[in-house]
Amino acid sequence: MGTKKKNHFKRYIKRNYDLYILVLPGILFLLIFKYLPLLGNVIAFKDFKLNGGDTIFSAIVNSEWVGLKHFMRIFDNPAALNAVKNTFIIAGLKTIFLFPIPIIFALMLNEIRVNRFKRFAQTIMYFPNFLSWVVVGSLFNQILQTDGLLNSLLNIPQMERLSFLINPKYFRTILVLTDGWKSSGFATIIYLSAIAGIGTEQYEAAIVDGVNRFQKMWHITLPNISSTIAMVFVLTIGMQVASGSFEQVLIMANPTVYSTGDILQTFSYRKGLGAMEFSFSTAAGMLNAIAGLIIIYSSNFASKKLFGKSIW
Amino acid sequence: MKNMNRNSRKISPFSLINTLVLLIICTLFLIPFFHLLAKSLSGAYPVIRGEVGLWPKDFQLDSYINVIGNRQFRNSFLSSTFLATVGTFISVLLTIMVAYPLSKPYFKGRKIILYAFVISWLLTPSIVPVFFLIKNLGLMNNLFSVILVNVIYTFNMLIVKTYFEGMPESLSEAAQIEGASNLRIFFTIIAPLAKPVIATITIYSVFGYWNSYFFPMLFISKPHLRPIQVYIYELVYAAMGSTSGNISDVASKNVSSIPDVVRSTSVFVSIVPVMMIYPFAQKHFVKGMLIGSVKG
Repeated sequence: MGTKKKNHFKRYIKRNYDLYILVLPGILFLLIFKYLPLLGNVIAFKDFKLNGGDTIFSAIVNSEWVGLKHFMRIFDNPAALNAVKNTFIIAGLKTIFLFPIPIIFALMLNEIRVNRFKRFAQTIMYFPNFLSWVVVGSLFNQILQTDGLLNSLLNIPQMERLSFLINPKYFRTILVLTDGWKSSGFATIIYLSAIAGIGTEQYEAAIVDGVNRFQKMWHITLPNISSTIAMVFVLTIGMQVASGSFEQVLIMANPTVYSTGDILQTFSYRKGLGAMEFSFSTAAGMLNAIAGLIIIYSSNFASKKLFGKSIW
Repeated sequence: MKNMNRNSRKISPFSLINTLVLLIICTLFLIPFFHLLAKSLSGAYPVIRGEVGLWPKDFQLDSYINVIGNRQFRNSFLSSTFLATVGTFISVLLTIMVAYPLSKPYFKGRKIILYAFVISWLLTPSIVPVFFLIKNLGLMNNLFSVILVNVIYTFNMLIVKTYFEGMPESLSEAAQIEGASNLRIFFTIIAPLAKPVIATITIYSVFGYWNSYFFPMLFISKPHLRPIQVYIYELVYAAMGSTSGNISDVASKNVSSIPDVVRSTSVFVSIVPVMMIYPFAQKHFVKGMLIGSVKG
């Protein structure tokens, strides 16, 4: 029995050893660039100092364990607490306002019978998705700055003009709107192709029953794309907290709007590589990653239970 | 044709409103581009005075000659081209290589490796450890740092894996009977048949590298190596008077004398490659998303 199993294994290895050659570079990448820095996260539980050792490794090992001290500091630090609050508020606002928009766009586009216009509109809406936040930031900078398009459109007198980008009151709105401009097209296209996959028999039966356009949308189209909606929801909500706004805020924010715009990741970045508070920064980054993980994990779980669909 | 006629004769109020609203939405999507383009084609003074809306004033093309002739701009453009080509090649190759064994149910270790990828995707390490890792690997100011730090994107890998799983086993069976190795089967039979999904992740990757800002900003400080997004950022934002908290601003305080026209032109030229690849992207992106999201 034992030798048979051994022979089996031998044959498997002989036939398939090269499959391991194929995965090897990928595993090396995971270990070096993903799991090594994840291990490096231990400095969140230590008082890490760069000059604590000859190498970075010994500096980490030599530094003193301090338990949850740096995590506690987040809750004593007004700026950090502000960032925690903003992380959730911004993710929440984006979810509430931006999640339904692509569904509405897709339903509207689906009613267009002139294919050329339909394709044109999709092309326009989808394009900003392929631009970087640097470019999107620059585009809206041009519109929102002191001598920008919006100020002159609103006819505000020269002397009273201010950049919308330095007013904390407007900053979250700007984040939501620019994100909507950049990324709505992506989900719209996904919903449109899901709608295209619905069988025509259902609609034909509905026409016989004499239902109107809106009843068709509500009773046929939406239920048929519900699992797609769930998938997109799972993918976006977790990402929203985990990393969704990082580059956007990093690029568009400035100290005058930190009160409403600073999020955990930008805070962590400034504390870590700006102020050199490595352990504190790592603790803030970890808190953010864990919050994102919990949200994406639970929404994936809910999607699996409710719609039988999951992303892993 | 008949269908078209019937529709065009009977336009319902709903269709009319729907079309109008969509037209307005499309216009809102386009305004930022037209404004940028108009500014880049206008003379310096109308731009400073804020007179340029959606149509150029004092039309000129010198700014384009200036930007394309600018050595720093060209260097950044080349840097990003390197990332988008060499980076994409490495990224796509490694991604499909990992995805193939993971698509085989009999592959021992499949579950563990798969979970390792999903976890690494969901649990991102903090910035400080990543920074010190790159520093200690001696990859600072080396474009390979930007390429390698995210060389396999788990989401892409899952899309390819799902695609491979959908390919019939019979494709490789004949070759297997003739004694061909897995490597040979993979590179000569499987990979060529997976062109659609490879096209999809290639495009994801090209845009990903072209648009990447954060890691290049963190790892690349030598001006002649700076990728295009870092260059544009410094050009546009550093001029706003140190408004941002970014560290890279410190290095570039001397750009405030650059006219707005040149700034707009640089941004516009930086998105020209994106516009050129966009038609292919539109085709393949959706396909890939659909392949990837079919998971029962």
